[in-house]
Amino acid sequence: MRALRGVRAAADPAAETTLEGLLVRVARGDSAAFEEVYGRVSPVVLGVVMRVVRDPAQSEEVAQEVLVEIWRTASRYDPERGSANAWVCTMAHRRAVDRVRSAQSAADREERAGRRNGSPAYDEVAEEVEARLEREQVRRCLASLTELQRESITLAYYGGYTYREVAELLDVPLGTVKTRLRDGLIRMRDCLGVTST
Amino acid sequence: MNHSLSSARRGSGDGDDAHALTGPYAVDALDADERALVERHLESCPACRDEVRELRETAARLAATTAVPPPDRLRSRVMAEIGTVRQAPPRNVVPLSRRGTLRGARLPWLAAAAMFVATVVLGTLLADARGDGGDSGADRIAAIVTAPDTRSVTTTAEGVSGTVLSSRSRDEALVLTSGLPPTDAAHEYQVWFMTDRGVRSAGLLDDSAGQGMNGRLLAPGLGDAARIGVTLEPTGGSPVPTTPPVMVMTLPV
Repeated sequence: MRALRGVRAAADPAAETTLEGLLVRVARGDSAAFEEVYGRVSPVVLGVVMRVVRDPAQSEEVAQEVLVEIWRTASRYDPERGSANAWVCTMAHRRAVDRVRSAQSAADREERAGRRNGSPAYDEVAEEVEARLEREQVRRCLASLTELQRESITLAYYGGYTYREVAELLDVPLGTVKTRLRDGLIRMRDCLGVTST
Repeated sequence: MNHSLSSARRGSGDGDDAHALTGPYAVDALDADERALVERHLESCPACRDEVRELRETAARLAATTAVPPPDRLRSRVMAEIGTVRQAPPRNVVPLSRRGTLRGARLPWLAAAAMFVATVVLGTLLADARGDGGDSGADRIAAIVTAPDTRSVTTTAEGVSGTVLSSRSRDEALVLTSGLPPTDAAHEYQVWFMTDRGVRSAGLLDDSAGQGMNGRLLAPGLGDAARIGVTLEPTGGSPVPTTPPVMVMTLPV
């Protein structure tokens, strides 16, 4: 037992409690560390997926896939490419959009987009977003964007639409949406004080 | 930043398109072809990688506002599923037994892995030659290292490393450890074969050879063991583990 305690004590407790540190342990098959990762990220994983996928049962299914994928690929998380939190969010968001863009749902969405006139889709997404914006800062920063930047980001990120769909929904040229997504995100980045280190 | 971005833009042909797509890329608003185009471009554009990284961190902040409390059933489903899912190895590490299919880029990793095994085996052989290791079964170790179906698994945690080479056809496993805390006279490390049905002793770790607590055990009777565990037990070993494992390694199928 003394030996065991020795092994544990050798670890740096601070490093272990960051999400990055926990992922290192998860990569080694540490299921206790994974439980902690689960506790931290599952609300956001499910939240992002539900925002995009909408259907609760499907959302839970996708969230489960994402969380298991974190367990499976923790060894491939590369800190050089960003924070562990961004790694998780990227994975969750990408899985969610992949799900809604899969053949069947793509057809449904196209039909839906065709029936709508652009702004209703935006209003619907934006309403939900506003209702849930817990973070003052994000709300404030979104509010500081131009209308087109805000609409583009909201539809693309929270709505899960491609920028082509966004252009159609907002009835603006493709190139404009491309640019507004980029400069809008850059403005958000600066407003939120996001750094790359 | 803007300078490096515009020079990157001038630098390459499809960089033009790819670069304008960093925004849509960061929020997954691209179709599969465009996504691939951007990812190719990122390989050769460090400034774009920086930008994408920052925009992704920004998107993660957008994600944070969506958090909802997940239902308990999600936790139980996820926990149940991870018990059945094999974890992926780090991207560049390949099992030794697959060396025949390696491509050039992976060779340094193979070389490192092979070097590790070679060093350990050499150490074992030298210990035998000095006559202080008793009968370690050096030829059996050589046999397991070269058996066609031998697979290896390595774990490193908190300064303790373990490697298992296992061969289902030879029905045995070579367990190597380093960095385990020294034991007193009343205790030694015992190795266990673990299956879904239970745990059986694989033998006691022989650490007499090294100051650095390098342990090894060549254990017959691998059977269908799914994992190998190491516990600290009273000298002579126990019929069943009596302490939590200091090391557990999942064996390749």
